[in-house]
Amino acid sequence: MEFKQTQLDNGLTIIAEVMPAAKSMAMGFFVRTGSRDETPEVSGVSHFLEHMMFKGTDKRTVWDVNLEFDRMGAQYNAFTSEENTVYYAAVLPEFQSQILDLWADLMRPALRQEDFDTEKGVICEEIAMYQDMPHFDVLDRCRKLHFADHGCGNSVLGTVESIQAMQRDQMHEYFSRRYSPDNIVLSCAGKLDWDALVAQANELCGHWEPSNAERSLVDFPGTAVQEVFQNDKVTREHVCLIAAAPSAQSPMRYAASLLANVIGDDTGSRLYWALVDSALADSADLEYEPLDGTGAFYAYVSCDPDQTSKVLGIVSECLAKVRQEGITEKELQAAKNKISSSVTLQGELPMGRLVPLGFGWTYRKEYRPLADELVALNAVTLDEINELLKQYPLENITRLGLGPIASI
Amino acid sequence: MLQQQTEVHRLSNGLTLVAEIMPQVSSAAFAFLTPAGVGRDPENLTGTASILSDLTFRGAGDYDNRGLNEALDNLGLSRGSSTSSLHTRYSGALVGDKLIDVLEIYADVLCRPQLANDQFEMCKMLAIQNIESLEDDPRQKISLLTQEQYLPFPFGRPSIGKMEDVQKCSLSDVRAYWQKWYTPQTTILAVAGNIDFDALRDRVESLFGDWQGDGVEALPQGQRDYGYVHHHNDGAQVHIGVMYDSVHFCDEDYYKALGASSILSGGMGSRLFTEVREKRALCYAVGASHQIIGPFGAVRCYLGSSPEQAQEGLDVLLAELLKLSEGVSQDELDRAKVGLRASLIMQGESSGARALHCASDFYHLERVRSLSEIEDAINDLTVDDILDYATTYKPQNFSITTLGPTELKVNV
Repeated sequence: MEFKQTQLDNGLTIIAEVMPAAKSMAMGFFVRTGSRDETPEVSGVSHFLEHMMFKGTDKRTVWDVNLEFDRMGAQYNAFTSEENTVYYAAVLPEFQSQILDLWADLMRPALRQEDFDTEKGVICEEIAMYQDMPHFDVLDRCRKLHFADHGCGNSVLGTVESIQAMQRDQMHEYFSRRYSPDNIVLSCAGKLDWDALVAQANELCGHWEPSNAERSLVDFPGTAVQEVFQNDKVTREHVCLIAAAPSAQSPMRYAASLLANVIGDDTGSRLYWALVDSALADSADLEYEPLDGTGAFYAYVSCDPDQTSKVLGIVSECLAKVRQEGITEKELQAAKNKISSSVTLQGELPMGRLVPLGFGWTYRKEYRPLADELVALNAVTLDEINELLKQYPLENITRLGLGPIASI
Repeated sequence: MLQQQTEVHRLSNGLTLVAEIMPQVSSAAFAFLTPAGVGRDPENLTGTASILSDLTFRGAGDYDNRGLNEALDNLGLSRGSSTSSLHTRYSGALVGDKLIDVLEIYADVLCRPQLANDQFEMCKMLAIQNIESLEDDPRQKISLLTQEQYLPFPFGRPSIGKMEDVQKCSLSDVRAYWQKWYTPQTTILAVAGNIDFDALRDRVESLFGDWQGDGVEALPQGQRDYGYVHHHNDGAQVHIGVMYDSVHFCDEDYYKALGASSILSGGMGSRLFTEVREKRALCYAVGASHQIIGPFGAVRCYLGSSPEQAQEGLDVLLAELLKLSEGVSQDELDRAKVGLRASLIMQGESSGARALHCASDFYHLERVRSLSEIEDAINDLTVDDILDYATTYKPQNFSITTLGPTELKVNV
């Protein structure tokens, strides 16, 4: 395995982890943009634009695009979050040149009015789909509650109203500003020809004009507001809790992922033993989400509405105990073993390496081989966990309950 | 050419070890396929197998509940168990050199679970909550409703259980079920990854060799059911499930059916995505896949669409399913073939995917198809093959289930 990196004159960074023994390759354009970079008038534009990127270019119609992906047997898709929009595909190595040709062209889309109008319908269907999923809805609403006016609280999907009101020119303006080559990383992993990749990328993307896309990086500890959103159509009580956590750039991120695992992994964690093992809740977990310049611990609980107060009392006790007493060496070791194992398994597939590789560069402009990641993870000490807890004590928690009850 | 090495070893008690050696990876994955499917749940006690699989992890052999889970976590095991019509499957993946340690614990889980009363009560309460949670997860609910409507009893029973059944399930029911259906007879242990097969075989012999249990009879085969049933809820979308007959895994037309499914729903250029979403914006999610459930082969489709658009969505979906026999282009077939081939090769890189493939193949065929065999069969498909399949298996009857605020009409 060998790491390669270069940057084109216009600022587009190209990185690759070359795995000669792999049977496939994965390629992704990682654009450092998402709902946090939107203004309220264009709420949902990052995600809507992600859909529109597949609708063709001056050279290709939407039908050409879909057929071309299928002719390579590509396993491909895209996703949009608060701060990243990622376009990715896994293909057999023989299609390296073709898949780059297609992706590079798609990164300069036509944004045709007719496609724009049609795709609004699909976006509104997607919004409706998530409305029927309270476990997703509660997270989205709680994020807004926690981050308030900080961009990380912006809804990725937007609303039916914001989507319907959006104009094609507004999307084009956003695109021109955010899809600047110096705001994009082309990341690849697997069996690939690096020299050919760079030469072709230079030819296809070298003319993209940079626009110096920027993002204000402000840390935000959260509002600590607690609310209930009553919805009689929902059967269970879904509760999301959010607390401040280290950023994606923080050296404490390894400790934070280990602490989250100890508290809220879906097997063998403190929340599991306190709530799921005892059948007080059918789901109780806590995850660490490193973000650009900030971060959050997210907990999610689903329980019988009548049990909500009791369950949340146990969650509070659990967090207070961790805050006061820390965790044990045995718990830390189990978390290391679990995360090491899953990272190793994921790293065996080119598709599994692609995302850590792309995000590593997007957030930190650094490359860490899988082996180094494992060393860093396994080097975390209890003292470092305690230091983390001092700085991020899982206090001042924002909380939202969504379900049949009116108050908690 | 795709190369691989597979090994099969049958124990005298009926357990079969199937392994694929993958020297290129450092992981190992496994899957136990036990005959404890929901189809074998006692009458009016649907959910027994599912409760039991949860209970087996709550104390086994000398491990108490906490000790067992801590031991598995310490090995870094990523694990799960799931119940289908015919099996309860225990699967997991971890770093290859720790596989034997995990199998030692699974010997306790499968052969010596404690099945304690206090833990049973917890499992039962969780099972009840899982059924309640279905109301907040309409896509999961429509999946279970669709299968239950189409498949004959007992194949379509919901593995999660029915509320009235789970509420009356007792520990003695669960114990009796374990006694009868956790048996080495017909159980398959499939392993894929970086393993020393000889050492694995010897260890499996010593761990599972003295496990004893009864033979397993095939489930009675009934008739599938067609027609339309609507279930009401006040959600934002109408969730639509459609199933219709197709061929079984063991049928000579199986690869033709796979090619046909790929033409319908393989990629974003496939027919359903193009006609329902891209041209008409009637949905976000639409798809079809070929499925094997016990002795039945079927095509299963899903479409989620808002109430104002759902009728048109269903009409377009059914029209596309019926239209397949009218013609298929060479380009469509070529796309389907390269898609199937690519996913096959990528599956070959994953120990988890290979373990499941080995288990499924051995269950249905009593051998593991090599990747080359599958690749050749895909490469050999012709337009005439697909048309032949699409004509012979043109859907005569659909089983259609909807869940949402609006009842639809079936206009075919």
